[in-house]
Amino acid sequence: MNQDPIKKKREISEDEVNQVVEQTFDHDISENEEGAIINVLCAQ
Amino acid sequence: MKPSRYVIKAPSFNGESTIFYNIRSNVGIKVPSNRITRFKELADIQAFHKVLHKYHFFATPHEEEEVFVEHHTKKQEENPFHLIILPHQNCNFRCVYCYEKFEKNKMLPHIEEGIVKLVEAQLSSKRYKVFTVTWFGGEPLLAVDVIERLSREFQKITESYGVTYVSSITTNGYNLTPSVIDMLLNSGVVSFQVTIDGTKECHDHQRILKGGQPTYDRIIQNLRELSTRSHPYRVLLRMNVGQDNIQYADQHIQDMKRFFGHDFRFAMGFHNIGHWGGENDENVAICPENVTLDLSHRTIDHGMKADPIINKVQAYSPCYAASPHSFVIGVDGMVYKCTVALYDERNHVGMIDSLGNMTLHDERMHLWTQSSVEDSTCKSCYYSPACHGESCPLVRIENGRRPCPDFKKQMKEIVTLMDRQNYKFIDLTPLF
Repeated sequence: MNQDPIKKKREISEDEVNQVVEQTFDHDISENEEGAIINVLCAQ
Repeated sequence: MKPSRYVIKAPSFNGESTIFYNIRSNVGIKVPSNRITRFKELADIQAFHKVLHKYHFFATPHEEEEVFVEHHTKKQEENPFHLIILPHQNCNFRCVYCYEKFEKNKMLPHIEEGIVKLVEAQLSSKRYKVFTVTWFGGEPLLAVDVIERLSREFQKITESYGVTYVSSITTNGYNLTPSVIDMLLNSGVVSFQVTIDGTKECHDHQRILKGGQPTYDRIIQNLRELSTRSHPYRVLLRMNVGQDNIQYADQHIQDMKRFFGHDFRFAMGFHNIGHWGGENDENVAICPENVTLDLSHRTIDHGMKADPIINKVQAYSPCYAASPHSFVIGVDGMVYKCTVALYDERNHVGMIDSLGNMTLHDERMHLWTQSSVEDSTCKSCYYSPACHGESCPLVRIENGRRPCPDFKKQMKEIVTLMDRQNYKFIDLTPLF
């Protein structure tokens, strides 16, 4: 597959990764956590 | 560096990304498929190391042991105090696949008193931050007054000890009238599970009143009334699927979409009918394959919400019967661990009296809560964080075999479905 040569050379920084991680988990009650509660309750 | 045994690789729903998902941490990392196809390629990028370490993506020599210890610590110390209360053990329905015998009726008043005292004693010990109640039966809404009285007491007790109270109900929906809806919503019920077994014709064949009358129209009417309330509850519309109704599933999904598709609180879930031990078992035609994933996709195809599949594979969430903090309490004070094996003596783990004393049979409790501990195969299994050999203690007790859930063999497909259901993965795609 053809890749953009500029993108290919670009180095990803740890700060950028941290930013993505923070955005992913930056919420009070996530759908994921809510799912866990419902899981307990609807187990039967 | 090698990936942890708990990491699996799956394609995203659109096929453009690869997801590395860790069953232990419930964290997934999404990367473009045209750049990364193997874990090694991900691990070779230095900037990702910290996050990969943090969420246990690298294999470590002691990870099996760590997962085992984490599970048992959580099991002993961090679970909520959970009661499954059967306010009534009879039912107004006679579903074709039901395993219950309906020999008992409404909860006795002195058992109600005993439950309140038990809860007071447990929560005053400050061991628990959360108290969860599931109203189950028989049909719990045959004893609305019991639910109302007990809920009022539970709300008072939890408030005085600063404990979070959450409750759910599994009901056939027939008696979910407007006044009952309001009572339940004011009583801390945040989750409703109501079974509709397909189109009107299918449902009215499988889920009939004691006298044989149909039930579909009234349940739909009740649920539509529930949908008019603005409370933040969830409704799981469960379909029990067998050979007799699977061919009508698409029509059923479309009907549910028409009735409830506008309400994000309503979702559909699918469960294979099994031979659960009822009198009619030999006439019930079961589906050999697990239907959950396929029907969940078809639900989304039709524009209806499917129950998030993560609920089935969440880490550290084995069956409630395996928890030492979870008890089923019957109308006469009988204490059980499992809601299915109601007539099996090994499940009669104790009694509660009017003073709130719960006398437990240690050996029987041990059967349910500890029988997986010595199973080294479960301990070393890649699916162990989600199951710990405790997905169904009843299977181990009855047959002496490991209760491996079907989902264990479907994890790749599950991760892809999670992606379709907008599960929050760490999406590193924009960085490439």
